[in-house]
Formats: sequence, C-alpha cells, structure tokens
Amino acid sequence: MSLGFSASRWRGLILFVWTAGLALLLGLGRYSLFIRPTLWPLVLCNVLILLLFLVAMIVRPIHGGSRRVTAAAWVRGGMMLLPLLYMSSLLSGAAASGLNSFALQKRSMGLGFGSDSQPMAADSDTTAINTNKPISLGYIMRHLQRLSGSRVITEGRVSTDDTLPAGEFVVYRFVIVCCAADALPVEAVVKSPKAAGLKSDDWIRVGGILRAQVKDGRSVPVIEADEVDPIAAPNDPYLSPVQF
Amino acid sequence: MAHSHHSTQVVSDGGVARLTVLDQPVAPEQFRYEVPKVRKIPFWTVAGAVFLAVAVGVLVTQRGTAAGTTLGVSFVSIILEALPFVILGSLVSGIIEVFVPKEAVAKLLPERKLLGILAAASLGLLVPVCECAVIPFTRRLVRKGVPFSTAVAYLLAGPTVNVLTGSSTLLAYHNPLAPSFAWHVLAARMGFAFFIAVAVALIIDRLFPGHSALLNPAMDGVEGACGCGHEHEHDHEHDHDHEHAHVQEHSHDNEHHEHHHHEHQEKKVKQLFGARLAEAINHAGDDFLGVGQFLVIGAFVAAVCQTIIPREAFVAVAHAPGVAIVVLMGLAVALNLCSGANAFVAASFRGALPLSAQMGFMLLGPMLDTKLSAMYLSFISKRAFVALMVLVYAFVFCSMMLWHYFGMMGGVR
Repeated sequence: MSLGFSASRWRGLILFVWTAGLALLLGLGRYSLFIRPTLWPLVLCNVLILLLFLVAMIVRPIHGGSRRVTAAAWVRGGMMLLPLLYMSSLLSGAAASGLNSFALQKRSMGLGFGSDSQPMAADSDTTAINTNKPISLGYIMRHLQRLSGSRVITEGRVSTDDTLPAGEFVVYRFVIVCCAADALPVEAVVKSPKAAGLKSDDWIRVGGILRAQVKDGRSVPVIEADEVDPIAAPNDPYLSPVQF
Repeated sequence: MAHSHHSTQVVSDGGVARLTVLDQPVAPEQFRYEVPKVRKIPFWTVAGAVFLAVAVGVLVTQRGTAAGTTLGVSFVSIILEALPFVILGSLVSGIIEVFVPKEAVAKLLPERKLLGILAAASLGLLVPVCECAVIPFTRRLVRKGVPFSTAVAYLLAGPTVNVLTGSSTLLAYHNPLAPSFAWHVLAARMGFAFFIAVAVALIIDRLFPGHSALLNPAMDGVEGACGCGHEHEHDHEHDHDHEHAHVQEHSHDNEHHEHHHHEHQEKKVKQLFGARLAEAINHAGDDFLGVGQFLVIGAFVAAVCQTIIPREAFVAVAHAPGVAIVVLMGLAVALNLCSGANAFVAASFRGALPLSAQMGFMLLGPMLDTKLSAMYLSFISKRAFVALMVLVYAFVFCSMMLWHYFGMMGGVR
C-alpha cells in the first residue's frame, strides 16, 4: 500500500527533521533538560553525522528510492519522529523545568541518608562554606553531619507532602550522571511558616539552620528556614555528581 | 505448496500455477493463469501503528501534567543518551560494510572458536562502547562472517567489561569517607560479566550453530549482505538505478521494505573512494533508521516503567535475597539505563538491598534490557532471542544467588 510519497523523500524528511530538531535543541541550550550539560558535544556530534547522512543521500540517492512509501515505512517513520514530537512538547511551560515532584515520588528511596547497616562516618572534609551563597542540596546531604548546626542557603523545587506535619515541606533537586533517566533525588525537609503558601514544583531559595535528625535509622537533613523566596527556574534543572 | 485433487493438481510456482488434468500435464502456454497477489497489511505494521497511536494519544492527553512531563522527559532522555552511540555504531557499521572485505574479517578471527569468544568478551577493554553502539556494528560483523556466538560474547560483555563502565562503578560505589575504592565491586562486576558472556556464548554456539540464529540465515556468507536483519523475498524487481544493484522486497514480517545489495567485490576496484564513502554513509543512514525504530519502542516502554513504578515499593517487597535479586533484575530490564550510569542507581539501593541484588541490576541491564531486546529482534530470530533471554536471565540470577550465599565472604554489602 502506498500513500503517494517517495521512499527517498520520506527517509530524507526523517533525517532532516532529526537534524533540525537536534540543532534547535543545541541552539536553544535546552538539551540540559534531558542530558547532563557537559555532554553537549555528543548532541553536536549527532547533528553533524545526521547531516552527513542527509548529504550522502542527496549526493548518491539510494537505489529504489523513487518507489512509493509503503504503509510499513510510514509507521516506521512515524516511530522515528515520535521522540521529536515529545521533545517539542517539553520545551515550554511547566514541563521545561524537567523532572518534577511526581518523579520524586517514584524515584525517592525515602528521606535521608545512611541507615543502620551503613551509618554515616565522620567527615574529614573541613572546607568552610560561605553562608551567604547557595550550596547544592547534594553537598548538604553529603556533608550533613559536619554542616549540622550551620546556617545554609540552598535552591531547589518544592514538594508538598500530606504525610508531613503542617508548616513543613520538602525541597528537592535531581542529580544526573548521564541523562534524566538515571536521575536520583536529593531532598531535605524545610520547616517554615511560609509552607502553606507554596505549591509543588515551585522553585525556591531557602536559608536557615541545618539540623540532622535521625528518623528510622536514617539521617534526615532538616532546614529550619528563616527565608523562603521564589526564584526563576535555572537553565540547568539538574545537579551533576560533581556538585553532589 | 501442492494442492492435490482427484483429477486435477495445481502446483504453484512463484506467482504462476501449473495445472495437470487426469494426470495429463497441460502445457503452460495452453493453460496459464496468474494467482492474484493478496497484499495484506502485516501484523507488525498494524502493531506498530497501534503503538504509535497509543504514544501520540498519551502525549495529547497527558501533555502538561506532572506524569506526562515525567514520561516525556524520561523517554526523550533515553533516546538522546543512546542516540550518539547508535549513530556512531551505524557509521562504523556502514564503513565496515563497504570498506572491510569478508576475508579481512576472517583473517582477524582466531581459528579456535573458544579463543574467539574469549577475545570477543575482552574486546570492550580495547573498544569501550556502551550497549547501544555495539548492536549496529556487531550485526554487520556477523554478516561479514563473524560467528554469531562470538558476537554474543562481545554483545554481552563489551558494554560492561570496559574502562568507562569500570570507572563509573568505582565512582558510584566510592564512599568519600572510606579509606579506599570499592575494588571488590568492580572486580565482581567485570568478572561476572565476562564469565556470563562466555558461558552464554558457548551454549548459544551449541544451540544455534553457524548463523542459524539470524533472521536471515540464508544471507550467511554473502559478501555485501546488508545486515538489515530482514528476511528477503527474492522476487526481484529490476528497476535498477545503477549497474549491479537490484531492489528487493523485504518480507520481514511481510513488510515490503525497499533495499539494495551490492556486488562489492566487482565494484570496489572501479568505484572512486568518494563514491564508496557516500555508499558507506548511506548504509549507515539506513542502519540508523533500521535500528532507531526499535530503540524508540524500547525507550518508550522503559519511560512508562520509569513513570509508573515507585522504586521504594521494590525495596518493600524484596525481603529475601532471591526476591531482591529478581526484583532488581526486573528493574534493570524496565529502566534501561546506560552501562556507564546504572552503577549510580544500583548504589542508591545500598543499605536497603543486598549487594548481590545491586550486582544483578548492574549486570543484566547492559546485557538485555527492554530497548536492547527490541534492537536484538531487529536481526536475530524470535527463537534465538528467547534462548538468549532465558540463558542470560538464568546465568545472572544463579550467579548472584551463588555469590550471595557462598561468595560474599566478610559480609560484603
């Protein structure tokens, strides 16, 4: 069954849309919504090789490319275009901030760090932190014992949780190694009178005294906040292991 | 196919039928009719269309919702992460197709099959690539004469037994508060991956000798075979675009897929380097489009799993070590993480699940997760795929159970 389009043009169109889509993603810098920002050369590499495929197709057309596209080829082509369709739907609006509190619920292994079987050891890192500049949630989790009792400022997204007492919410970020599929959450409980006015997935800056509270054998970071301010969504919504 | 009757017999010969009446053959020119060709829409085309409709439906109905965003970000992320390696793998595959003669591949292979399998399982140490890159160019090597069992050893071990994956494992399991790296985790991961790959390859060699595991075993040994993995229906349609090329109707799942084969032996002397390079790149483009659709299906299924499965629930049900291993093996298949990154997710289960279960997660994912399964089906038969799946799952599970109960001396957790 053919639907009036040549096989060669259909293949060319798929390659062109992929090339243009990835070039646009690169140009807008929105690749960091999906992959670790430092991996941008791979996206560039994709664009160049796909361009090469396209040029080779034009310079030396494939044999039989003038034949009509079959129903199967339409379906296969449609499948190839599906990721681009999804990608385009994620580049604006609330979706442009990436993984959200829904993903947090699915990926969280419970609040806190350490357990009965893996107690937190003493921290040998004695680097002083600047209490006027934000530090990452990952750093807070990693150096919780040392930082406990200090004033910290951090940034992240809000997760309101019915299981938390009134006046408390969770601030979270995701750490990614390669892409958002491997994202793991880092989170802290925030105690603030402003909790009631916040809604899930707002971006905020939190400042306050950090405490390490033990719940079910796990050390949970708790920030007794004296400031909670809304901020704009950052360009790079995720943390990298370096920032962890 | 022959259909007998009391007095007449119709024997089909391609699209033309021969008829005998009362055992008296009738000359073809006297009685001849065309068997009408019924073109059905193949099952896989319908299935693909249904998949596409569901995926687009989900996009339309869930766009802007928290769940829809999680699904979309996970789906596109898996594709974008895998894409560079699939494209590079396709490029290497295209270059091999056009520039590397079969004899050269044969010369490189050790004469003894076991040595070939051992070498292939170690090849990742020299060529560190992730699992998405190995499939396009390995299937091309198989078409160039590399035994399927040897290819299996590389497909299974290559993505894990390499420097990049080793480094990420050490990094993921490194506790900055501990005096040294977790070398035991690295050694176990590399050792088990190597052992399982070699063992499965040897069994596959017995079960599927030669190229009988391939979708198109008849192409075994054909120089210049395209390696698209589709069965070829040899009703050639000679609408040549240039000399020595012919177009065939592919019948992979009865899909009529256009393609071409080349007489490289004859042409390679005549052709200019530039023309051959363009041909190699065209092959690569075809490979990318051929493998890409399977990657899309696998990535979408994985993204759905990422969206609906709460990881904490996995921990809650995995009380016994055996259950924990099975649960994390299932999670590895569902999540489709890159071999370079899955150690970090595995390490997030430290303290909650035993190391044997985490190791099962790290071993199985790069060998046979959802997207890889879909990509395997682009060039091996369903029977061979089921055998491979059963063997890999069984070896990973049994190895981890034995390791858990007999190997983890000193209470490694």
